[in-house]
Amino acid sequence: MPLLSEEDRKAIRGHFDLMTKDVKVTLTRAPGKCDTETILNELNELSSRLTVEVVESTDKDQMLPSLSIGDSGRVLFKGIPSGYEFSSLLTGIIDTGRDEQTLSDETMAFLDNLQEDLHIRVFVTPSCPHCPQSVVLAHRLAGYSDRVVAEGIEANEFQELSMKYQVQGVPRTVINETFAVEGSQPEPYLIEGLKRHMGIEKDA
Amino acid sequence: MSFKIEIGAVNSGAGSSENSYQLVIAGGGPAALSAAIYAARYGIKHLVVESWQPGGQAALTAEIENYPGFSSVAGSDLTNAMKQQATAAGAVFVMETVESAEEKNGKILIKTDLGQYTSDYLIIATGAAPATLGVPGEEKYYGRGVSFCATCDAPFFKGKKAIVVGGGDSAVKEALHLTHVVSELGLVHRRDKLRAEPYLAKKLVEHEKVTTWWNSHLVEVTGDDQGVTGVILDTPEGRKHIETNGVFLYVGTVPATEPFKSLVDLDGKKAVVTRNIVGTSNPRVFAAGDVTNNGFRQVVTAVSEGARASAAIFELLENEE
Repeated sequence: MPLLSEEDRKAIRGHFDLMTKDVKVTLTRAPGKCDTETILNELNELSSRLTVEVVESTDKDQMLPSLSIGDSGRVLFKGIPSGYEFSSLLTGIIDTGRDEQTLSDETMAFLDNLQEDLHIRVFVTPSCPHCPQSVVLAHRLAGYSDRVVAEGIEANEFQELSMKYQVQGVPRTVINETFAVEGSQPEPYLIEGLKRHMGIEKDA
Repeated sequence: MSFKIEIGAVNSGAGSSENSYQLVIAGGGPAALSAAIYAARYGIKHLVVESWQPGGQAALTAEIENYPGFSSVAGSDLTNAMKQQATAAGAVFVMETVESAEEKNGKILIKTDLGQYTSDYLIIATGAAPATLGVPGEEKYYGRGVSFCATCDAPFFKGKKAIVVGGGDSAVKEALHLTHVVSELGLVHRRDKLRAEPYLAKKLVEHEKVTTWWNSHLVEVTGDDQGVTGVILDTPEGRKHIETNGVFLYVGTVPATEPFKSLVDLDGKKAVVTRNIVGTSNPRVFAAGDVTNNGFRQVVTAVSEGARASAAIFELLENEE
């Protein structure tokens, strides 16, 4: 039985029809089939713009399954994109397949002037309805700037990492090990907070 | 682990490129989704401006047992089904946050973080956000033991101690959800009896993992650099320090009315004052669900009010023609 219902497929097709560019999603997984591969194959049937590549890994230190959306290698999701994180996966695919830019001018100016690379980790759980906002924002920042790598991380699946980053609530966004914010932060708040942390003046 | 599909939070940028409507519905919870289903079916030219909280507070409820037709349903499953139904009916959504709304040239002008829309009518269904206690440690340890969402954060407290503060339906439902995960659960309530449905209240109070603190107030959340370590309670037996790793707060809600305060009358608790259930002080503005002062805050009443609001606007539009 397919994971996607006919209603889901119809709704997703509607979103995928907005894509104007081809998008490749690369799944790196442990040996053996997994639900993430099944769902990606079902998504693959819904748009000619989408291709799915599956890479098998036996590296026990790698966070698997791992998804990379697009060719940049900067828009990532670690873990099974289940529950609300399925929405993050879909939005990531659609964003990558569109030319339209949704970030504000202020955010783009901030990214254009970055003097250091940013590694954004957004810890989430599948049952958190407001988590996709944080994952999608991080993915959009990474989609725009080649100085940004953004990972959505399913906190339950990677408990050691979650403990390392003191995750006791989601979403928790950690940037470059040094800056962390709790809860869903709208784009201007996240960028302003990050600017303050980096010592960048508001109007710089 | 089964693969669960939630597409209610997809933000594809789809929606409409137009900015003039007969009706704008602000909100994303049951009241807004019900209003959207009815508006779409009535053929009203509409737009649903939902913020980034798909499903509203209902989606944060682990289990809903009092919505007719379902003995037990996850709040997120119920609201996801509502959104699918609305989409299938032709409802148009954008995922934007309303920043302000005002009357201009006989229309309602709604400004969001990404754009602006004019509309003949507006339904405010923006729900309510969790209230805070304002006690020391609450803000400091938010996300590090202090939580407003057991559904989201319960997995981090597996085998640990937690307390829930509150006595209403939400507090009790989420406390019951937590009993599946935690080793011990304290329930702190300012009265000597829970306000929640007696069936749920009895189930919780009799649970073997639960200790109750009646007539008690949380006065401080304590912690260290790892997060929450305990709470200080004012109890009838005096001040007590209780060890806990998690503090889940369900002490009421604050209606999300800030963008609409110049448009409609609000009561002292910032709720939209309604007339005839869904009308407001402004004839072009209606309100539905937890954002109103209607009192009984349930999914079943929110969907009813959403439907009534769209029906009332349909009638007004018909009479205008």
